[in-house]
Amino acid sequence: MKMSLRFKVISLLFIIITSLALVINERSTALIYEKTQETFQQRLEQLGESVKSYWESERNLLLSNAMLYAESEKIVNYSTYGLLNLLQKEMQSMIAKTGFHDMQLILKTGRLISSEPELCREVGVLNLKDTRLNLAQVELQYGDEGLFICAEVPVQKMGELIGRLSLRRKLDDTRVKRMSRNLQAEVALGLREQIVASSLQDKAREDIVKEHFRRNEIRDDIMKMTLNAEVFSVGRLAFEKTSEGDFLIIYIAVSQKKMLSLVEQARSQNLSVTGWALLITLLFTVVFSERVLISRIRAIRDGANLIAEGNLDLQFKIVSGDEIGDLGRSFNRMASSLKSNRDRLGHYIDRIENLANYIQNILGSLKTCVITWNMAGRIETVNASAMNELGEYYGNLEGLTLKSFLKKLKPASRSEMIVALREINFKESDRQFDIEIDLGEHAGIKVLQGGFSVLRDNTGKPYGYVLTLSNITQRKIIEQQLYHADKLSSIGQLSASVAHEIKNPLASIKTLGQLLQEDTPPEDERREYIDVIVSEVNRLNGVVEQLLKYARPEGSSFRQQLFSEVIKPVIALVNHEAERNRVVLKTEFASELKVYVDSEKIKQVFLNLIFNGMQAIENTGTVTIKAFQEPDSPWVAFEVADSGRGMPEEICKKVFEPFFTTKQRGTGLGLAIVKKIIDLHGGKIEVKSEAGKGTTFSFYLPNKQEG
Amino acid sequence: MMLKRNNGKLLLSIWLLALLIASAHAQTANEALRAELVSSIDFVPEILEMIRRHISSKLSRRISLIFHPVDRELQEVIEPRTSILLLEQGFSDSLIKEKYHDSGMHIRLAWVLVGKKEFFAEFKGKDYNLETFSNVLQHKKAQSPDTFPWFESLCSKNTLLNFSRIFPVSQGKLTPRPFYEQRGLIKILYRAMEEGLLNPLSVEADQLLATKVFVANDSFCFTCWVPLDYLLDEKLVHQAFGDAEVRPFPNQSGTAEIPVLNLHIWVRNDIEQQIASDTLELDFSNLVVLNRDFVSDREWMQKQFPAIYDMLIMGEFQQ
Repeated sequence: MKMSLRFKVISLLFIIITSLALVINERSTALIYEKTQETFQQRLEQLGESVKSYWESERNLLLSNAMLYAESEKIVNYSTYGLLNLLQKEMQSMIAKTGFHDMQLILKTGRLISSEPELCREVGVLNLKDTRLNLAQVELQYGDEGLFICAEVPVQKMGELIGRLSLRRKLDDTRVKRMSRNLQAEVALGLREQIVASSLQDKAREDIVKEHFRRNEIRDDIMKMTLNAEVFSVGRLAFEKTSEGDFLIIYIAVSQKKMLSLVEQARSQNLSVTGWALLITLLFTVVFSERVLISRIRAIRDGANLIAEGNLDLQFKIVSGDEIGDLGRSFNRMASSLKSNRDRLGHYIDRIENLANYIQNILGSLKTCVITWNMAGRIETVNASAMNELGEYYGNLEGLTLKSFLKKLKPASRSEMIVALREINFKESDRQFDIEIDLGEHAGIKVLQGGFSVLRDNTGKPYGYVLTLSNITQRKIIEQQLYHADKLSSIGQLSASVAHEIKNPLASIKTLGQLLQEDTPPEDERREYIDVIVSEVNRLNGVVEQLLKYARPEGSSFRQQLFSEVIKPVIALVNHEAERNRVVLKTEFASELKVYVDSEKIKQVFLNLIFNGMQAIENTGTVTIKAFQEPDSPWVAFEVADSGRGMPEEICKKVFEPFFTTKQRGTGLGLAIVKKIIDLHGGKIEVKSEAGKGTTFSFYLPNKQEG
Repeated sequence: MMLKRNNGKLLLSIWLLALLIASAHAQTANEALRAELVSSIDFVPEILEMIRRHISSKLSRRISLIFHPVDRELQEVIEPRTSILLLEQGFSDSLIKEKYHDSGMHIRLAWVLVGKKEFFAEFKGKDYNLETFSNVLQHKKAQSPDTFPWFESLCSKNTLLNFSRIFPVSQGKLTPRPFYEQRGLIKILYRAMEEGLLNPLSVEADQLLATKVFVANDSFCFTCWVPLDYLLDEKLVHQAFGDAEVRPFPNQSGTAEIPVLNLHIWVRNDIEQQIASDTLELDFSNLVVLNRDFVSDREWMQKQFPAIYDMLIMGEFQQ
């Protein structure tokens, strides 16, 4: 996704400012919170003092009220004069609406009169000698009814003790709630791990004690608690012992809700202010960036586009001395430098292109195939010769892997090539190898000779291989022909010498035989033997003649002529013999087919092959003569096929060797002479035979004599 | 047709007007009649309520009673505005005659002993005299030694005045005999206090306190004014004091002597009010009605009361 610079810069600014604002806001909030916690602690300490003060005033108030009541004329008189019911009523009316729980008066007779009728009873005569009965006291009382603060004072008439009056205030939820209202904090009173009075409601009422004793090991008098899903700062005071000896613990809980709300409000306000400030900053940034930065950058961008389009003459008008101005100046320098470099680069490119063309031309002109592989094993370069020689076989060579290249070769060629490649890697030897490529049934085999060399860069580090290949097919053929010719030449020369040695004795034998023939009458039994001797000598003489013909060097007379002119005299010659042997001769060739041959020798070839075919046919059969030329092929193909008995493969391999014959009276030179004539034409001959179906002799002659 | 319709409207209007008048009259009849009691007696609320109910039954009207205590001449203090005036016998009526007329009727209040039923039950089969009274008190005292069965408002001038009518104040020494055998009011009361039968606080008590003590069951008996009818109708007593009875205060002779106060009823001139005559006749044998008179009573209170009260407090009797 493409993002503009302005967007990026503004985004970055936004992120940085937002992060800073958030960090500062959170930090300030934490600071406020910390300070507020301290304030809460101080507040709790103050509240503790207030509770003590409140407690003291409560004691004093209770005591002063008790004393006031004890000095009441009615209380004294009613007590003195036995008006106990009226006394009780008076006590009830006295404490009515005062908030005191009850008032009790123990008369010296032991009668207890209480504002609560059910509490009136006999408690035992007071011991008037006990001087403590004349003292006033305030104490905490805790029982089944709850917790009370009780002020007890003597009631006297004319200095004589008539009883003790006790005034009690129940420290219940109502009282504690009043205290809570006055203190503006939640208050709870705990005794023996239980809450006896609390301004808190529901679960929080008990939780405050549980939480306190759960955290007792901390021994922290100021704690933070969550009560009824509200956070409180809680302080505790071990206060005063009850008459039973238990310590009264006062819990003071100050809700942090308002504080937390204020802190949250402050944070929200800070965030809001920060947000607005951020928005305004961003707006200024947008305007500023547009006016000062982006428009100028855009101009530079447009300039860069023009430069990219090739307008290197562009120069910015620089007015400012800031970074953008510097950038503009750098851009101008860059444009000038680019222009200079472009000119130089053009010059170099021209030179490189020329050089590349030159190299390409060299490679293209080379008769040798050049193929390069990179270190990954893929062909990078293939010259025209390589494409000519191998394109037909491999298709497109470029990108072909070495493995694929090798896979198509014959196993022997593949092995040689691998050995050479291995050696070049280890020894950098210049081992040469031949590879043979089978071009198909009629195309034959192509032989290429080549070698590997290492391709190196300027530092000498290898980065590939070069394979050079030369087509040596023709040379190989010639070498084989030379080899064969050499072999035949040796046989010929040997035959000629043998023939000369044989011919002279044969002439003597023949002469002597003829003399004996003449001297021996026909009726003589020996005449038959002499006739056989003469006949056989004639036959041997014929063989010798043929041998001499084979070995004799002959001149050639090649010329372009219609094939029909060559084959028709042959057909006419053998036609009678064919009919006699009940063999049908068939010819298939184009009438306009031309051949470049020594016609007399080629006639001999066809004559030998047709006779060979007819001899292979035992009863009746067909000998077919074909001649044709594939389009664009440099060869003219000929076939002489019979439907005779055929030959096994071992025989096929030897049929062109001199003196090899399967006939009882053959010389073994007919097909040898055929081969010799074909070789003389620069062609080649092959034979295919299948037992029971016949034999086909195929030979190929160049369409035009080379050179 | 038009005439019929107009007649219908007329009848409807008349009917509505009649309904309005009847409603206004009924409202007037239901309104409380204001009455003012002008007396030197220190009536307590319980007694005033008895009087209010009594007048109300006599007038067959709801009465709201205003008490106007006086200890001087009427003309100096009173400027009546209420519909009915109840004037203690002996008050001068010269100033009120312009606006009020004497209905000729009066209400009679008797000064009696109010006691719990269980208290009076102990008198059963016995003579109703001071000795029996003493015996019953002693019996009650024995049941609850820390308390005093009898309470009086001896700080009240009227109480001492009434007692002085029954027990004349005589000179002489306090004898060691029981209180019922003493001769003379102060000695009787003083001895009763010494015997622990009469609550000593009585000398500092007014009628209000005495009533409160009785109502609070801290005493079995006390004396006060009640409408004369209460002597005959227990229900009325029950309404006022609960489980109590009223009887004349017993004396040594066994005769029933009752101080009686007459309250004359005066009706404002613009009020037409029929008042039933108080035809009640008490059927007490030996009943002696001791009529009070404002003028003579006032004189007694001014001249006799301080000395008698001091004697009662100090116990210094003339030899």
